[in-house]
Amino acid sequence: MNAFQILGISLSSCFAILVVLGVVRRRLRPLPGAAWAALWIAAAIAIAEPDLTVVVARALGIQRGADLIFYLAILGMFIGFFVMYVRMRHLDEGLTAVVRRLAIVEARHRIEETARGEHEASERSPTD
Amino acid sequence: MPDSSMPAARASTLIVVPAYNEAATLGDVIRALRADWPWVVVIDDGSTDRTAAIGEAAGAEVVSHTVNRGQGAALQTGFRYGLDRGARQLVTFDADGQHSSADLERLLEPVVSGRVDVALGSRFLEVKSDIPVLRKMLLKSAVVFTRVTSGLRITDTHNGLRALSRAAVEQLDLRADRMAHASEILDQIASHRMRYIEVPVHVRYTRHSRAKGQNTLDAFRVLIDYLLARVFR
Repeated sequence: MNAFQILGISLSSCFAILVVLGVVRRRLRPLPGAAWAALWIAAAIAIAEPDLTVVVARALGIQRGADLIFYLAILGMFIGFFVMYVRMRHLDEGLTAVVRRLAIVEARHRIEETARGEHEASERSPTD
Repeated sequence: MPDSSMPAARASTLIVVPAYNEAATLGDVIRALRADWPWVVVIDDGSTDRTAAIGEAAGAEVVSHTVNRGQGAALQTGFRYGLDRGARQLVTFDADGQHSSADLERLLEPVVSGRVDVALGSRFLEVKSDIPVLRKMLLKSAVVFTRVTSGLRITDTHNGLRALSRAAVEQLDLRADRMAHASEILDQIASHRMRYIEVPVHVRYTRHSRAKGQNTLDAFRVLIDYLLARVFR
């Protein structure tokens, strides 16, 4: 086992353990947690046994294990972008809702203040 | 604030004017509106100029977004505000000076009489508007697109001058914050089977309104925004 394998397996295992701890401590939901844990365990196995990626690649009709990793990385990146975009849209909708609510509450408050001022002025005027 | 001395329909009609950095034109627009229509609200969409102050000084109520959220978001804020304050009819009116307050009575009549739920202004019916050629081509493409996507047979899909009954506004839920709201409104008119009519209105193209209007690239942005809004609805 070379230095890269030792480092890669150690890091992947650490991340897998952190994900499991996250699920146990309820900071991660079980389904995404399981997906992340599977990803890190798969990374550790691929680093420990590089020939295994060749076997999987050939089973899928791809010649080289490195190509399989590359394609999976591209696919993962696009899925990541999509998930981020969906989250950003939800945040955007939330921000608009907050801005709208604040704007209407402030406008209503201003109208009430004006009405109160006019009412107080009309009550004062007969005695002036 | 509604004025009880005005005819009932005018007093209960809220004119919603979404505005973003419109200090140059807003004062004249509001004063022209207020000459005949007592109840006008400016939705200041996070402007960095004196839009809010000018709107208020000209006699409009002002509702201010703390940050810019887009014209669709501003209109939805105006709708929500109007419903909260008891408006019976709502009109959307652009702040850049391209619409004429003289068209409002004709636009509102079918809504006030209860014949339709929505009256949409059209610059392609009767009235001759001085429309730049490229703008005309874009608008005609939008008409074809709307006919395909919503089934509505109308002549002008992106006219900011509209009159809506309270019941129609209660059904609208605009999610497209930016410019795709025009198509979204038409989609919702179709999906809620609202009764609608097109009314000829005059659109005036000034150097300011052309500068603020959409170019060809914006049209593609609107299209993408619209498609995404439909996917993520």
